[in-house]
Amino acid sequence: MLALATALALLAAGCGRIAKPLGWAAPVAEGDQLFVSLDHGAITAVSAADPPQPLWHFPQKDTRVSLTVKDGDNQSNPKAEKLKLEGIYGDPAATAGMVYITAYSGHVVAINRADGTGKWAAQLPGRIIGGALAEGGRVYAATNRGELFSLAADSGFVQWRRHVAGGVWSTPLLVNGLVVIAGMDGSVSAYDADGNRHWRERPAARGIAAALTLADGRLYAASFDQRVYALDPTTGKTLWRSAAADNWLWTPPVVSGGLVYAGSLDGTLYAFDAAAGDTIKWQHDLGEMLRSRPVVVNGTVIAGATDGRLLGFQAADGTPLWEQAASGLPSEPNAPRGDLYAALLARQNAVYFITERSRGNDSLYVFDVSARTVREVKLQ
Amino acid sequence: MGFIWDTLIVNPMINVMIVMEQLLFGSFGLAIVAFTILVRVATLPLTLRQLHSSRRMQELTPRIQEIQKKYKDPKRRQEETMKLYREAGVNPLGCLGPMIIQFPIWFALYRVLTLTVGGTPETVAGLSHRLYNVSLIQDAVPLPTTFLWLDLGRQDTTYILVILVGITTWLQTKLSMASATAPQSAQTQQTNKMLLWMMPAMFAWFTLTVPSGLALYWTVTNIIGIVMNYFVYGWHRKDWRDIFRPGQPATDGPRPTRSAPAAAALTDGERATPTSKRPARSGGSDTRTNDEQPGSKRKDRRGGGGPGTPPARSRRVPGGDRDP
Repeated sequence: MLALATALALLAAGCGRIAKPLGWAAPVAEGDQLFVSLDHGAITAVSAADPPQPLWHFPQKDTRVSLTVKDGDNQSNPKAEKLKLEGIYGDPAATAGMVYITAYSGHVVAINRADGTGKWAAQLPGRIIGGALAEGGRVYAATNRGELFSLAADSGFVQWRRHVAGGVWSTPLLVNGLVVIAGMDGSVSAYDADGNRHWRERPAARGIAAALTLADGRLYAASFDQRVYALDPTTGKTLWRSAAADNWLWTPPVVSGGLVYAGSLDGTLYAFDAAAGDTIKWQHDLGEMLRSRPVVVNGTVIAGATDGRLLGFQAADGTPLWEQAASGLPSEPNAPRGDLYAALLARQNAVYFITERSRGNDSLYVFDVSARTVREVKLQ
Repeated sequence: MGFIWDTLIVNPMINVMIVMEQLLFGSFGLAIVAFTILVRVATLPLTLRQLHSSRRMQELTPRIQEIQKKYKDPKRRQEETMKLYREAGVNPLGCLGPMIIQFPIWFALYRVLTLTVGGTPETVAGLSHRLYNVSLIQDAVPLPTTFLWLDLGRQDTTYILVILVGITTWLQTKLSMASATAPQSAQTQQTNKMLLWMMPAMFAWFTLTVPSGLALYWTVTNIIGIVMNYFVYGWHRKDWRDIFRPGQPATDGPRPTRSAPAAAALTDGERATPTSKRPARSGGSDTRTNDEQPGSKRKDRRGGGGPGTPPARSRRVPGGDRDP
């Protein structure tokens, strides 16, 4: 009886562990540096040389950063505090001298690019899933409680905050001098640098979790209502909406060569006609969820399935070109392994990506598009 | 197997839960409370059967102990025990059946909660294959994670839920244990005493490490269990303060073991009157009078419970002869 009760209690507690926010920030390139989130809640700067070399990690074990904002309120006497960052979901935003990261714990952190020291940290109320936008001496970030914050880039203090939607997962985007943000209620809003709203539309029936894309004079949004929307960037009015996909569209739209590519959680890669959208030009089932933003390199669309496979398709007509198998086999030591959630990064005929396994190994995968070979580069 | 389990049980429960969240003002906390109540009401007949069966087994304990003392031969002992069960209309596995049927439901409910209150973006992605393509359900994503002072996907940092889980677990354990009216061995008493404090302490400790949505579920399901134990075991006929007195059974003395027809009558919805004037047996003594021989049409009632009820006449263990 006692043993049974204990076993059941342990089972009950063991099954109910709190889910750890892992984060899925993609590698980002800026100048001669790459920024990669290898540890959950941490970021590593890497030289973009071949092979890539680590420059610094943030935060270090005893890193303390001046906390200028606590729970959304400016601190009159900011103190240097030890940061406990949770998973980083949004892509880092890099400027000439700084890199800004957002964490699920609600933190926005400014880091000096040169040496990886923290300049300031602002802790906003709620969770941050999208990334930051650094523009015009301000840093913009939005929370899952639906608030858009404008922070002073040099000090981190809150300049203004606006309630923009029921919740925000997306990253703010600069469009014609306005900060445009999508909400989990399917809305898209535009604010100027002073926090004045210029327009607000609700094109989608459900949430827009992925970042918006500005291309060819149009704003594109992929929604949980299984459609892509093309919007007028000056008014937010819907220009077209795509045919329905088979599940939530999770990846940001990628626009190239008159087509809009988007991936669904049913594992289908779609190519919509950028002119009209209601036509699906081609589609392919990858067999696994598609959570990683695809890239287009030299006329090839490269998509990564969640099981770590990379697949190449002819961008124009969707003809399958190749598949780089994911593997756990010792006989295939170079095949990518682990779950692939983070977006792919294309740079100089190479695709950089991280999987959950490579993050655990402090390494980064580099896929040579021409040779179709993968290397795992250790960054420790 | 996992696919069938998910498709037939877990996913429908997730969708019902989300519909409730939408109907209950978009509050996932209220949905957890309502869903827990709904599931407990749906399994109420099974739970009651289990409780009644368990109680009848407890009532037979002294007579089983006597049989064990009386008969040294294991085969004979088993025969006599089975005979006792037959006469009392009790299936020794009777309390296990309903419990086994309920287990998958509880595991599924538990799984539903861990899948939905996780609250991280990863869990939201995981829901995409589980939600039905119905606007009411799809529109709910991402699920709200705040309820009162709680972030349902996180621990309760105020310790209020820790205290609530501890108290309700203690009460539920106490009510079910104190209902053991039969004399218990020293070892059983020791185990019960340990359980009474260990279970609340363990669950209170777990509350510090699991999402508060799960702790909310534990609190609600404990409260429902307390109410059921309170009525099924007859606590409502007593002063509530007796619950907190050490060693207090639900009734003033051990109840008589029912004859088979009486037990059958109780099975059919507990129709027997608790106010029967039939005297209760004194605890431990286990001889039978002639008028209560098997086959007697006289029905033993679930008396003995009321205050002031005189001790029952003892009766002989059926089967007569003793081992040498």
